[in-house]
Amino acid sequence: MSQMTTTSLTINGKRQTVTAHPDTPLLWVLRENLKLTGTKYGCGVGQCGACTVHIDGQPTFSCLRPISTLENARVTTIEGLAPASDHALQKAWIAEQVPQCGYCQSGQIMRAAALLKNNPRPTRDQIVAHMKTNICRCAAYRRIVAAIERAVKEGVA
Amino acid sequence: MSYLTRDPRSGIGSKASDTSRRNDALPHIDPITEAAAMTTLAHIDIGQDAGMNRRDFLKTGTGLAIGFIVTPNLLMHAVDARAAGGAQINAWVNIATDGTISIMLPSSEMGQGIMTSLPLLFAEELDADWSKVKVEQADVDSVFNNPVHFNVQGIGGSRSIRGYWPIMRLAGGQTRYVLMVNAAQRWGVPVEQCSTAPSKVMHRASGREMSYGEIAAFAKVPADLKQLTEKDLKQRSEWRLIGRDTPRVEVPSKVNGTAVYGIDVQLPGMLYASILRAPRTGRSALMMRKR
Repeated sequence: MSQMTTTSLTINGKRQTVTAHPDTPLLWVLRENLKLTGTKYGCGVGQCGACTVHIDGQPTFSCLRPISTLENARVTTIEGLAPASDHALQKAWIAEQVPQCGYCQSGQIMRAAALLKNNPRPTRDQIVAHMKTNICRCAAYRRIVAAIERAVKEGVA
Repeated sequence: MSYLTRDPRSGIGSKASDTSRRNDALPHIDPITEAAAMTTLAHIDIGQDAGMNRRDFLKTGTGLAIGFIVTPNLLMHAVDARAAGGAQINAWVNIATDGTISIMLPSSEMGQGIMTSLPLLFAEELDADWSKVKVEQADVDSVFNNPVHFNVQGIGGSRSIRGYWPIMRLAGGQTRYVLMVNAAQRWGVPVEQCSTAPSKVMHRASGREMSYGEIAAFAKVPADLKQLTEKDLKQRSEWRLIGRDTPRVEVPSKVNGTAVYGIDVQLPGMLYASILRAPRTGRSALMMRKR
């Protein structure tokens, strides 16, 4: 059949070795090999942002990264953002009651977390420009921005 | 167990008794329901770990489990969900002896908030301590159908609150009444002298009170339980929970990746399907090759 390869990488601080076809997008390795279903499939073509994870600190569409390119990469998913789910963004997200259906929210939070890591005091315009990679069909945009601003005000964990 | 919100037995728009369409070659697919299947929460663990399957709990767990049969004129007949004779009645509420109240969500949370608001209606009339309420997803069972939404467990058109408004409140009120009747019997006083405060029944005249958890340890659903109607329920001015901004119960699971959607469910031996479309608009398949 198709050739499977093994890849060793670090996911949420844990070293993992996965076996998959080398073209398999990281998204599916996360969801199906590792059962980390917090990262969502929305479009599969890098247009919606639902699959956003951090790869070596950078927010990335996991649907577009073949596993073969990720030997020794350090990946963070929504499950690994904060061990007790108490990242400032997660607390702000609950305080502002951001999610409606919630399907895009893992990607939104991961995208926002990368912003705050590099720029802990973004302006509203910077927030909006940074978040344009992530769409929300429920249109929770106002609360997404409010939660990011709240996390900025209350301090990033 | 089907994670689609649509009852596969009746189909969209068809009466339960209409069998003529059920065996057609292709099932009717309602695009709204199919979209809902992708974003609908399949399962939520709120708070306590869900190690025990709910049916097992009903057989072996302690506490009170009440099911309701909804008649066409929306009367709620309360039944013990662990009724004798092996009849498996799907419980709408489980009250554990520690006071935890598990209320079923009969339909689908899609971001419209009913995972919180429908149980809240129940809790209002039950006079429950909201901090003791756990929400669980109901099984696919026609007892949970929404009479205002094609008589299925689906959602759409702002019909969740409209459809379940009388049902959740009556069920909550009936459950409260079961608890009061049992407490009154235990105390040897008329139930009319009893009242409730959040999660407890009181008999003011003698200064006695009993928590719902304590009552659940011995309560039975009496066969001659008085049938409540809407006029027995709270007046608007008495609402303690309804109308207040309540944090939604499933939001924490949506910010840490633990909320499970239909698409997240992976079962052993699961099959996958793709739609194969004709390459030209308006064309359709000429033949299907079976393997």
